Amino acid sequence: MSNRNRPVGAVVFLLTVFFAYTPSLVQADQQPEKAGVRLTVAADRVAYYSDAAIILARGNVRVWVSDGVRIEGDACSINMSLRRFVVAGHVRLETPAATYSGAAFADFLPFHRAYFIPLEELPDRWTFLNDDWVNPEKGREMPGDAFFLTDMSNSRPFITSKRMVIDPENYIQFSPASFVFFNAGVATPPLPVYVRNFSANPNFSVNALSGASFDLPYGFAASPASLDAAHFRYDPIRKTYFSFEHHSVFGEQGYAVFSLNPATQPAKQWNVLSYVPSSPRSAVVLNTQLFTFQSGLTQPLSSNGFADLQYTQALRQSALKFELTQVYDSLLAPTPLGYYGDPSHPFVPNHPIVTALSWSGFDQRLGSSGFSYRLISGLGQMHDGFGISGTTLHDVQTVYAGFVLSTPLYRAPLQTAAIGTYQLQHVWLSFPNSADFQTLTISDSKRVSNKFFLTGSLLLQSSATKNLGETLASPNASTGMFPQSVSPNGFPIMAGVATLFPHVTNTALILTAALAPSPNFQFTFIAQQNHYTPIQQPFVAGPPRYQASADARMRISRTLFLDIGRSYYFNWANQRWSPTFTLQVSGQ
Amino acid sequence: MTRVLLLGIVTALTLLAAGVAVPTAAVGDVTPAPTQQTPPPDIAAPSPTPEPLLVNGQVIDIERGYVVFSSGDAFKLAPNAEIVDDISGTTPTYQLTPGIFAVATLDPSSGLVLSLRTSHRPLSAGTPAAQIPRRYVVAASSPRPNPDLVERHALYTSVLSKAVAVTVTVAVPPETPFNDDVYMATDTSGWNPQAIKMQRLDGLHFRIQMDLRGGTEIHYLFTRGTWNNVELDRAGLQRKPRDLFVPGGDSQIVDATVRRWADLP
Repeated sequence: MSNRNRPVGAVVFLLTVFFAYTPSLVQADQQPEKAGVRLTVAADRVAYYSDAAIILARGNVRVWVSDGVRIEGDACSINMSLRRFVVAGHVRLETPAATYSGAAFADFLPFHRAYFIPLEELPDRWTFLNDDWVNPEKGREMPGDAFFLTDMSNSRPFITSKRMVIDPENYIQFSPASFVFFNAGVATPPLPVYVRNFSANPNFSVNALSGASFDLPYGFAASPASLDAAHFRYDPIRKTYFSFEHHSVFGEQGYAVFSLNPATQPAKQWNVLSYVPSSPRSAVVLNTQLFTFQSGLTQPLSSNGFADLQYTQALRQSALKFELTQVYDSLLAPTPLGYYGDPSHPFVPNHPIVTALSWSGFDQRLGSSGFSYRLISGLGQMHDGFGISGTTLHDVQTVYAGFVLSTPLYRAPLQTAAIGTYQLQHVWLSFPNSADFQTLTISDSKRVSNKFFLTGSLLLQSSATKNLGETLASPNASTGMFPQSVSPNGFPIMAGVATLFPHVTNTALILTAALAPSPNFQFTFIAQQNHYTPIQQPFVAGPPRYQASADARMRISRTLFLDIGRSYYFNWANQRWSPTFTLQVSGQ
Repeated sequence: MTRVLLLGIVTALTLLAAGVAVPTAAVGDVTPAPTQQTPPPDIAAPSPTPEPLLVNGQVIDIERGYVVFSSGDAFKLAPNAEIVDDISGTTPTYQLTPGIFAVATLDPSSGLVLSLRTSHRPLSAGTPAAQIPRRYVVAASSPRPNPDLVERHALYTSVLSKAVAVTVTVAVPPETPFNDDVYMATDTSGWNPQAIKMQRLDGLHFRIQMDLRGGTEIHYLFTRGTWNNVELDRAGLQRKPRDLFVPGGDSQIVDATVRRWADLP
């Protein structure tokens, strides 16, 4: 292994570790404007109605508020949407200032108003303003629904529990959790701690797990700034397995996600994705992937990975991105045999380091023509003491430039509207070699009615290079050799197929029909004909010659929609229907 | 006589100036000070031949000789007050837990609750507890206005709970791969990146129509199905979620433009 690159690699991986821990450092320095209130509710039965965002607790109810208030009562209703709660029946209110007994207590958390009906000598109405538990405003009129206990007698809960920890803005933690399905027909036995996260922060959903056919997340630990989840997953290759994911969020936009996928099989992928805004106009991104082959956490038989560090700076009408990538094809020490365990885990000495700078312009109008365009460019340098892409070259430079051009909507015959786009990217490689990627799209659409749309499209794609053997693929997108999808040689995955010939083209005719008779039902049908050159043959190259797919989205409950779709391949490679339906249930 | 009247007035003024409370009326029978609020209508005012008042509402506590409704109004139970199930007319077989619905029969002369009919379902008879004359409500303190509850003028005259047809149309960047789908990821769906699949309108536009209640607020971002290809701002930096508020009305149209995708240069 080249000693020259060792320190650089070490620095990159140290940066990895640093940025992996950055969230906690940032968080420790932050002064929250006001700490969010957290509730802990324990009772004989606590039920969560997810559709209505209501929690009802009954029997020996105890509520602890994180500001030091404790309430006991017979029943409790928590409205998660309005962020208020009521405790009623034989209420005992313990505040930092005094203890009271009464009929009901209600706290409107966002407004810092707590309402109380004391039953000392005479009933009364007290309002505690701004958490002043010493001097209640007595007799002050209250909202008419202050103590209303939501009537959920016609609904069935989604989860029942004995104890819930509630952060009204972020999550509910159930311990234990019993899930109720099929309108209370089936309930699971009490399961370990479950966390349901509903934070408005989208960064809790940034996903560091690779794709799977089925994914069932089970959150088990949370805080306002973190979430830990186990994932039960299935895909046709690995079958069933468990994975783990940790999310940290900080500030308005920062996040760090760690994942181990799968955690229960030897071929493991360890990912860290993080995004740290360094100013309103700049950000640092770190993506790392480590692949290991190991049983449990024993000595791995193989290990490789990369770290990709990006710094993006917005300019007035464009943006600059600096990107540094270190790849290690083998992170284990070399062995005399040249492999670990068996020859299927060989030692590969390559560890290229890539530095690149890219520039991308914003959309611009082309005079008064109605056309708009965007320019992109970049240059990169790859160094590998053991040769790049199987060649003997230790250093390769890349330069790329490209543009995207789009037309305005033009009126076309038959009351249709046409629009076109064209993309070209040219990459120079110092092998020497060059590559061209082009895409042309022309679409003609017709609004048959306000609920039915037809679009006919012509799609032309091509990629060409002088020498397919002298290319490079890198996680570093700023080299220009990381096209739209990850590919084995840096070339585009065209029509779902890796580009394996020096010059390939695909011409597709696509008809899209979109029907939306009501907001509760939408149907889309797509028919596509592909003509792929130089060879379009099953198991050799090219996409299916003909393909039709349909997708329907329909409402199945007050808040849930079902999306179901399937494709037909017209006997391409003896395949008619796609192996499975795609099913997606999601809330709106 | 005039001297006596003058003396009385001077004495009262002196006491007031000294801050001594002057008893004016019995507890619970105080006319509130003039405020911007309208006092509850006295629709159940006693007639010359008073009949029992029926108080309707959700009961949150029966304790220490009082029945308390969810409006916060407490009424004193007569020592021999009868509690019966509304349907069977007999003693309830279920527990009188908070949240039960009831109609209380109030003796207008004594203000005591003579009987209580209970049910698991809301009952229709009687007057809501909040509209019962305040003289019957037991409270240690005199009513005081609440400035928080000053009536606000609505911005819109429509019924906010009505379903509104919301149409979201998005223009995607020209470099968007043509065969990719476009979705909305929303906070209401736990930021599922495939929460709402949109339909193609033409080469660069997608659309979805949704029925949303007035008052709904959704935060959302456009994706191409995963968080790896979520939308970014023009410079390729993360953008804040978009905000969709439905104030009401019949329909609402939202036009949006995606500037960049996270996975494309």
